[in-house]
Amino acid sequence: MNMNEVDILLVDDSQDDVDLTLHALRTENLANRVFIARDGEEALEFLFCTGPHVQRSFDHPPKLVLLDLKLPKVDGMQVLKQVKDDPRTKIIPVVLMTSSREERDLVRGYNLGANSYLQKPVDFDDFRKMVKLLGLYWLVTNRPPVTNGVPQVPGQAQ
Amino acid sequence: MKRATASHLDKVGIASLLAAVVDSSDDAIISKSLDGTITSWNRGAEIVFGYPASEAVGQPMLMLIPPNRVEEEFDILARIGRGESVEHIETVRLRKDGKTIAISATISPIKDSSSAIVGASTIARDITDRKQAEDRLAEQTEELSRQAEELLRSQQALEAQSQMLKLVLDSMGEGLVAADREGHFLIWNDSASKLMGREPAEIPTEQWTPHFKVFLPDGLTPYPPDRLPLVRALRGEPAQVELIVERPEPESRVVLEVAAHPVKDTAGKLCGGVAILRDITERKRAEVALARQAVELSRQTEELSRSRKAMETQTLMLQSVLDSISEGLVAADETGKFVLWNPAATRIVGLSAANVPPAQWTEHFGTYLPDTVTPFPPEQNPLLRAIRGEACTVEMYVRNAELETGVWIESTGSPLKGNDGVVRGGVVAFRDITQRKTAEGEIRRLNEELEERVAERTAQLAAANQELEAFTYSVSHDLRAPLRHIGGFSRILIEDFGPRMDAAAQQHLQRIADGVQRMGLLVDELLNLARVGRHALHLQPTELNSVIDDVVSLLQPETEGRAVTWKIAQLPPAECDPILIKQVFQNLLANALKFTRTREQAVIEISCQPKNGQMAIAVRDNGVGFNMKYSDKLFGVFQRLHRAEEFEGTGIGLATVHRIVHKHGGRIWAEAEMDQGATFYFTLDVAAPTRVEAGAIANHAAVAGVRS
Repeated sequence: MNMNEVDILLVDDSQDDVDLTLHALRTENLANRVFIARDGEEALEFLFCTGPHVQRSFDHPPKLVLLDLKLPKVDGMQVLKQVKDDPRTKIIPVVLMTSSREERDLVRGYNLGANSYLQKPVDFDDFRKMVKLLGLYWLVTNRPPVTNGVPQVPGQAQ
Repeated sequence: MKRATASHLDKVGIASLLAAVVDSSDDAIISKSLDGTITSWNRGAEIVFGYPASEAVGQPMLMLIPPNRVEEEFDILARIGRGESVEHIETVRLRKDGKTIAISATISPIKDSSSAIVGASTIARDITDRKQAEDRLAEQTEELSRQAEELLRSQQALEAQSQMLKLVLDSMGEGLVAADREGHFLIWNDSASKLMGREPAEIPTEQWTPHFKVFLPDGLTPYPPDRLPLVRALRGEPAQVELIVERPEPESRVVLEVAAHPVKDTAGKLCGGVAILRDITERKRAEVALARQAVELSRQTEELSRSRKAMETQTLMLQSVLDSISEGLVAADETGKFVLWNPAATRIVGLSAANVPPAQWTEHFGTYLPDTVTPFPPEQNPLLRAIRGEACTVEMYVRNAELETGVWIESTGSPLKGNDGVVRGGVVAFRDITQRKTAEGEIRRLNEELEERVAERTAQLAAANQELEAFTYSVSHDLRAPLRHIGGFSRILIEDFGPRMDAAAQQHLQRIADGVQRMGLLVDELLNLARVGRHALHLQPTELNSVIDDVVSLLQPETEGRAVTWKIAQLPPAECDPILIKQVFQNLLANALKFTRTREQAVIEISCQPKNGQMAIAVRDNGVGFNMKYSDKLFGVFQRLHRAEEFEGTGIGLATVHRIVHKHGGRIWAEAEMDQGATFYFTLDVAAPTRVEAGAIANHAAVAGVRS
């Protein structure tokens, strides 16, 4: 998979969650260009084109980052903060997807610039429904800020 | 001499009788011749002139004549010669002894038978004595007339004197009464009239007492008449008494002092008595007043002596108190000289009063500021401040050679003021507070320790809280994740491999899915409960009815297909946290709905009544109720009174309600009976504005709205 053609960066340390999420995405045929990062560090290396991803270009950011909050090494909030603090990456839509129902996480996440905050439902049907809606919205319905390495300028006709 | 006798005598006898008569006569009978020669000389002549007849007869008469009377003799002789008699001539003659004598003489001529004159007879009588008596008489007469004159004069003087005396008597203030022996008043001066109130009366002395109304000093007993002073004086005994006289005019009792004296004439014979009356009413009154004053004085004196004794007792007591109290007591006069230093003072500071100027007290007694090292500023010494008129209480540290260890004292100084308010000195009471100080130090140390421990515990608690939060967080996050995984994969299993599994396997998988769902609910409610604990209480006046309305609409899905009657009273606004109270109503109403599920017509009532200044809200249902035997388990976590097959539930809902009500300072309890419904009560504070009207809650409760 070309690392510059990743649609979704899925950041989750739980293999179970990753599998369930992929299973749900796959159902909607959205799982083809998903890159999995298993901790915050990997996610940052991917997004900031460092480490193993030094070949990657900022011109080709993922269309969506699905970010779990509880991560080894660098936690989700830290990842979010760095992404949203950096002009090169802050345009990337980040959706927090977590088991947490903690309001403070929610508020903090939005304050740091999260584009959405989703709680993973315990019921798998509900979860699958949510992932489907999410994928369709961000990858299909939503107009991403960058298309094929060219940042879209507001007002410019598509 | 009788004529008859003479006729019997003979002639001879007559001559001798005559001679005898001549001789026996005391008168000098002398005869002389016309030439003046003495011819006879009787014995009387001898006596009168001192010459014997022998010496006189034949001698000239002239020897008897004083030289200055010679003429008189010649004259007499001449007259005799003429036949005349000279009768009773009083003249002066010389006696033999040379003395002059007065004589009365009658000289007659002697005629012979021829009636010729032959001589003369002289009958002479010594009248010297008579003359002298006459002279004396004359003198006496003169004296008498002089005396008479004098008497007259003295009588006049006496009259004047008596007049004056009367004036004096009348003008003198003392009454003067004099009476003669028979009791007739001789003198009764004006003052006597005034004092007695009466004029003198001619009455017997026995009636004086009733007449003059005289009483003994007791003012009651009539004065014994025989003891009246004037009466006694009339008996010759002097008297001085006090008596009371009641005068005719009103209010007229007078006390008189009467001094009476007998009066004796010049011969020393008792002739009357005099009494002097003196008004001593005023004096008596004064005496009575004086006596009263004396009594009062003596009473005062007694009282004084008593109070003095009491004071002495008090002083003694004070002394013993001073000696026995445990507080040190020290006083000094305005110069700083100690006037009091009780034993406790010595015991506490180890030293006794010393004649040390105030400036050296600090050094002498070793007094320090509470830091125990800075010498106490001498001018700040409480005793000195007290002497300056300042009251104060200070703590001092005392350390000197006499003390084994340093002593903490608390000294209270007060000025000593005289009655005029001027400061005369100061007094300081102090006590040993070493123990207290030690205790205080200990307490301080303990407090510090405690604070430290509290801080430690607080930190521990905070850590525990954080841990708890981390726990809830992980429950929220980590517990749900595996649930999701189990649920997710069992779902996938059913979907992807279902056709290859038999019915039993599929049913087991469904059980797993149900379990996951129940556990998801459990986790959510546990999180809720935990959140209540962490939730900071935001109290505000809250309209409970609108909260309840919200909850009822939230629960609307649960009532689908059921007949539920809501009877919700108008509740007063409560002082509470609306979010948490909403949770309470949500849980209680959800329960009510749940346990009335079996009823054809569910009735859920919410009412309220005042309770101990709060309001008690009641949520009543007509559901299955419960056995009160287990009511103590109602509010415990995971405690359930019904089987899950009958009524689903986590056993956390009422625990959450309980926690919220307690967090509000309220109480929660329930009443129920099996199959007879249940009522849950909880108390809340009424919001301030309504709290003023005590009846408001009752009114609200009475006007119970009924909604279906």
